Amino acid sequence: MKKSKGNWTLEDIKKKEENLLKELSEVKVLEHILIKKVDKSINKEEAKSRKAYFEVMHFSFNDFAQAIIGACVFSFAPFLDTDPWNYIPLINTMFLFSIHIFFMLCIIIALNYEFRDKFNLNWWFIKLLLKRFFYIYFSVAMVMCLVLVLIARLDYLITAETAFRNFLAIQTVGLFGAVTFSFLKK
Amino acid sequence: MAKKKIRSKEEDLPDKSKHVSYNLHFREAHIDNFNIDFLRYYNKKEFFFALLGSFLGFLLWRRFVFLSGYFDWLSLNQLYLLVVAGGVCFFLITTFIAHLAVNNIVKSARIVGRRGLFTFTVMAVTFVLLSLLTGAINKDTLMLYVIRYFLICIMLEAVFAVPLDYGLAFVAGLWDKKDKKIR
Repeated sequence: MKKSKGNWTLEDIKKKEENLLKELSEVKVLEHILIKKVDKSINKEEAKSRKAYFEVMHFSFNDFAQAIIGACVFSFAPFLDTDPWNYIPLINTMFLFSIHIFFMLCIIIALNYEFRDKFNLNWWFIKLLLKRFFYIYFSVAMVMCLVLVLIARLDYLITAETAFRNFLAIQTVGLFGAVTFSFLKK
Repeated sequence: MAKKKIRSKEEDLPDKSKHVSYNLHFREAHIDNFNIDFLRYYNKKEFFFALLGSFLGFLLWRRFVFLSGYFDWLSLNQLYLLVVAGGVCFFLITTFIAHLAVNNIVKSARIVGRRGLFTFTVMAVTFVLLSLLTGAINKDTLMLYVIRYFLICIMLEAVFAVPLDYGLAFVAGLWDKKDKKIR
C-alpha cells in the first residue's frame, strides 16, 4: 500500500515504538553501567554522604549572596576604624601572604567539615571543594576591591606592593566572614 | 516522508537529533539541542589551550607593545571601556549559542559565565606571573601603570586565548561520538 504523507499503518507505529523502547533500554543499560562504575570508584563510606557532594557541586545565587553578605559584614570594621590600616605597613609582605595562605587552608578545612561533618579529607571531594572555594574567593575579591577603592586604600598612585598588601589583609578578613556566615547559617 | 515523533508511555525519550552529554565525575546527564560541551565543561585540555593562548598574547605584548607604547593614545577609561565592551559582547554571543542548545536563558548564562570566568582567570594569572617574572611590573610600579598594562595585555591575550580555548575545544568535541559523550 502506498503511504501518503502523514499516513501511517498500525504496524509501522508498533515497529517504531519497539525500536524506541529498544533504544531506551540500551540507554538505561548504559546508564546503569556508568552508575556502577562511579559507585565502584567512590569509597563506600563516602557514598553515604552523596547529598553533601551534590550540595557542594552547585554554587547557587543564594550561596553567592551569603558569601558577599558575610564578607561585607566582617569587613565593615575598616569603614568605622582606620587604625588597623596603620599597622599593615609594619607587617612583612611575606608574613602577610603566609597568613593569607594559612587562612585559605583553614577555610578549605572548614568547608570540608561544613558539607561532610568530618575533618578527614577525601581527594574526590576536595576537587569539588576547590572549585567552590574558587567561586567564593572570586566573589569576595570583587567586593573587597570595591571596598578598598571606597576607603581610598586602592587608587592609581599607590605602589603595586602596597595594593597587594591591602588586598591580602582585607581579603583574608572577607573570606573569613564569608565562610563563617554560611557556617553559622547551617 | 514526514518524520513523526512517537512518544512511549514511559518517561520522555531524548530525540535522536539531540546531543546527550554525560559527566561521569558529577554523575550528571544533559540533553542539548546540539553539542555544547566546549562551553559546558572545563578540563585540562581547555586549560592548556587557554594557557597557551595567554602565553602567546603576553609574548606579543611584552615583545612589541610594552616598550613601543603602541596603545599610549588610548586613555585608561577608553581601555577599560574597550575591555568591558569586548567581554560583554563575547558573553552575549556565547550566551546566545548556549541558549539555542539549552532553551533557557538563565542556564545558558550560567554555563557561559562559569566558562568565561575560568578563561579570564587563566589570562589574569598568566599576566601577573609573567609580568613579575619578566620585570614588566615590580613592587614599586604604580597601580596606574599596572592597571593600564593589565588592560592592554588582557586584550591581546584574549585575541589568542579565546579562539584557541573555545575554538579548539569545539573542534576536539566534534571528534567525539555524536549522540553520547562519556567523560
